[in-house]
Amino acid sequence: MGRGSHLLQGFVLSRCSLVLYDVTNPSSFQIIEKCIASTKEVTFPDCQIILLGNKADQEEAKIVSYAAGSELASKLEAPFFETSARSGVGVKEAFIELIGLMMTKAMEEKFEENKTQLSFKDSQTQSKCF
Amino acid sequence: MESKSTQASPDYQFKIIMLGDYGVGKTSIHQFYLHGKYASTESVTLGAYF
Repeated sequence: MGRGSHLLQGFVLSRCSLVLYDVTNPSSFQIIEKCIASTKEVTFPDCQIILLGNKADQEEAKIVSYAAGSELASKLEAPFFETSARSGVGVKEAFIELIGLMMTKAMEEKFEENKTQLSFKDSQTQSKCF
Repeated sequence: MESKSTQASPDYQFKIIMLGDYGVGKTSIHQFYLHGKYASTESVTLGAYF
């Protein structure tokens, strides 16, 4: 980790990364994997990645194609959206997907937790019977 | 329903990070999501913003 590694402190135990690139700037697309790798050591191991290709409203200046973005996303096992903060396209969808994934994960964890507690209780009641 | 506190405490809280090269629009996306509007800022966020 180079410059700015102290910034990683703020990323500790993140459950989700929204990773953005600019569709009009190929170099921002090329560094995506490097970006993710540099935070991997501090986030949750199962940190959910969502890939966003931003500035999608700039059709004429677009260099990184939807197909390229989508391909990288499937490699990262991440949902992919082309977004634009200017026109608003895709932003809501991306956050809804994000919240959905987070809620599912959190509920699954809670369920597992309850299950463990339950089986613990069961074993206690069983031991009382004897 | 009790409404003693004006702000309900959330059932779930998630920490989300936004990553990317400078100038890709991390601040813009975040501002758009929170406030529903696009603010054309030409200033660059330095380092990190929480």
